[in-house]
Amino acid sequence: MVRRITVRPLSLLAVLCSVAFAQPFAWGSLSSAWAKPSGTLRLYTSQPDADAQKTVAAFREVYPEVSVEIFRSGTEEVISRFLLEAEKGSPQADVLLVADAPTFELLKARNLLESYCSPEAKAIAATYYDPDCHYFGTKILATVIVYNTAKAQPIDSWAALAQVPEGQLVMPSPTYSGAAAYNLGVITRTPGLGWEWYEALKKNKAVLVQGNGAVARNVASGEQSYGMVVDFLAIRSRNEGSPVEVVYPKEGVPLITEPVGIVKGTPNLEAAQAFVDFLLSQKGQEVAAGMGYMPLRQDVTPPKGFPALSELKILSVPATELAESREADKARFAKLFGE
Amino acid sequence: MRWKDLSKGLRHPIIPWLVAVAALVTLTHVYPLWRLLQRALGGEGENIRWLLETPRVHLALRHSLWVSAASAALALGAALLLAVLTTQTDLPGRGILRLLFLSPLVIPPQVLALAWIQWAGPVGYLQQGLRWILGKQGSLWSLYTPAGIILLLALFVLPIAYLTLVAGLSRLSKQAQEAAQLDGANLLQVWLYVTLPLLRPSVAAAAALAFLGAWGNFGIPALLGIPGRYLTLPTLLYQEVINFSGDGFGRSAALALLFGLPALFFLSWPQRSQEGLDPGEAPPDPYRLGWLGWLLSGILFAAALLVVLGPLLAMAATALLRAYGLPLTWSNLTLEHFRMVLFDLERARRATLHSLGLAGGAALLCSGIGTILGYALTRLKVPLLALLSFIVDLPYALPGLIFALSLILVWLPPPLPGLSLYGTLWLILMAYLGRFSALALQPLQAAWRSLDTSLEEAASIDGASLLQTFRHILVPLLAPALTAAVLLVFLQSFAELTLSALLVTSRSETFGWLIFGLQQGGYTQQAAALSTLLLIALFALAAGIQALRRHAKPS
Repeated sequence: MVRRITVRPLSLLAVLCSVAFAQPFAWGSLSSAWAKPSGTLRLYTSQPDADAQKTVAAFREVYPEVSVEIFRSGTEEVISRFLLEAEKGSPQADVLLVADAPTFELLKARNLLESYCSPEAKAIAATYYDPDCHYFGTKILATVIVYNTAKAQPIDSWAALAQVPEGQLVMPSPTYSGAAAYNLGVITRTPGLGWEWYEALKKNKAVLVQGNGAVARNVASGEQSYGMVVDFLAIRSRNEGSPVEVVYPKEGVPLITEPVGIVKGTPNLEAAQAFVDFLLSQKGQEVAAGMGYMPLRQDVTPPKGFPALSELKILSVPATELAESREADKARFAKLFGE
Repeated sequence: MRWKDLSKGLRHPIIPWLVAVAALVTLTHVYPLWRLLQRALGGEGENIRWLLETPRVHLALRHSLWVSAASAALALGAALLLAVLTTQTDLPGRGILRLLFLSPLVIPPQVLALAWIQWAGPVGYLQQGLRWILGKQGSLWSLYTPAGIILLLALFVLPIAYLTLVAGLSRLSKQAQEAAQLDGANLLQVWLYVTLPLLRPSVAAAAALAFLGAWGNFGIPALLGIPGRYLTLPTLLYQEVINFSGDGFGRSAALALLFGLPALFFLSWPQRSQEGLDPGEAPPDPYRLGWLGWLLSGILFAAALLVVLGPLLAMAATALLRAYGLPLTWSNLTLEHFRMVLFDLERARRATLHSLGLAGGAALLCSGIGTILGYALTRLKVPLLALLSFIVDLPYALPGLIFALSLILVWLPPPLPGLSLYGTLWLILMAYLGRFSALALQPLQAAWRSLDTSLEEAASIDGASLLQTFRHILVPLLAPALTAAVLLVFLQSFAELTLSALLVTSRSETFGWLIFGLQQGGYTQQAAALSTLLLIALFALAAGIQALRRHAKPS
């Protein structure tokens, strides 16, 4: 018994020494292999399933050692599950790829996010990520006007959208959709639009639905002639051949960035950081553009049908302010519309 | 006296089985619901205060009570008529009618409601056709009203009520009906004075299931009630769940308490035993309807076309159109969406396998729970058991979202070191067991109630063990109710969507999760294609069973 214990470390040491001395030049490559991310990465996302699959496949081409487990669901479902897990002290995700900056501000305020300043962030405008590096935008999802080409006259501004024939405008309800709640926060703080704009919509009998998907469907089928919707859905619908046209209103567009953030206390920080780097890298942004999303990097060409990033006029409000006022805004909206 | 009853009850041979069921139900029902209750009452009672003091809550409660009661009544009436006509008469085409009215079972309510909008909505095929015929402009009616919600909910719970009633009807005494007929009673009189009273336990079960199914449904009020600004309890609960900055979860847990109210009400119903069984006898000969049969059949087919077939065809049309919103012309048709879901949708096959296994497992286990618990409830008169039946019913009345969240609360910490159910298929199986046990318990309990105890007593005097009595005497007699239970749980869990949306990960995909993902990511047509394929599979299966039966009969 005693002999065994003494022999083993000795032989181990001998092996180590022989390896180290026999191949002194191999050390460099060995250490980089150790640093290479591996193990399992648990991703919580609201990307459509096919897109999440493609994103992960492209990531694994670069980091084949990492296996990725995905929980994919609607934004609301993903966040409620994550918050409940976090509340119980054991979040089951390593990275989150969901929703909008104010939602991440909320997670940051609850100290649920890890700070990591990705070197890739240099290629992205500073407005699209948290200055403390808790989350980074990954793409641009602008809210635009969509109209049915068979039924509606073209319009080019939010102001004109409030004047369309009664009951002909459909939009997601901020009470049920996080993206719509974001738009509510931005538009009510935009000079020239504000709460008066929503009051005009109410007077004009705007129709509320649960989410962006229903808006795209209703305008395509002609149930309503105009809609307020996230651009990639409308552009995809147009490219597939639905009778719709997309307009980026001249006052500017509110946009969400589907940020990515690392969960505090993740057991696989390396893989999580690699994932963030990948999404922001040129390759990662090209993958997003290939799936029909507007990339954040200027050096990646947007997919067919999208305007160039530099041509977009953006309406924005600091994410912290939106996070703080979201519930009050939603309550005022619900009261206004009698929901 | 009561103590004597109790000690007699404790010696009953069902007790070990009942203990096993109680243990399982503790894991799938009691514990998750307990955590939810804890959460609702937590803090300084502010969630309860919010519940009691908020006018929006009261409004939603009133709305939900109204639409659920109305749709349950509508569904029950229609199901009674259909059940009697398809099982007791020689109605022409009854097999096809049965299948048509059952088919909404396999379609998730979110998809069904959308199909309805495409059929009867403002720009739906039905309204457009009628507008063209009548030469009118504008909307003829609106689905985004309480009436629209009631109609759709009724359609959604109709198959459940129907199957429960059919199970009860097929056990009716032949003699009572024949005696009434010999006395000169006509079909309606037999129906009103003989069939209906004998059927009372099954009617109560069907009514309870129909109400609870409508009460906890989120998909239909979400699609119709949000545009109509008609707030219901499930949509209000969703609003609170996604309120991430406050204690939305605590409030939704408090709201979940309200969902238990009707289940409590059904518990207080008088549960008299009914004895209408006539073991060993062939079912009564089908009543000959003659020319009336053709008339009724015509009316029912027209109704089926209007409320079932039309929407299903609209769904199929959506799946076949090149792009959403295009007019239905030859040049716009394509099989591309079917090709996509059949061949490109990675993991569709794995998800289907998972769902087959889960639905099969849930169907068997739920029927087991229902058989044992139903037996114990009707044979041992222990008040504590009534509480157990209330708890089994409850998750079915809850919206899937909140039940899934309570399961996360319970199963997030590993129950034993090194053993984690979280993110596995086992957790989803437990979720289905929790949610759908009520669907098995209600018809089985009704069957036990109408089954005379004399048979068991005779068998017991002859020295048969409980297991032997079950195997050779009771289970064959229960067969119709068991079939209904297995079918209901299997079909509902196969296309289950709201629990899956919160519990499924990339290792444990299910069929309903696939549909949810497609619908939610804007791939409406692919979701419609997947649902259409599911329907085709159901029809093919039914046709296959029919052919097998016909083949087996001559021998």
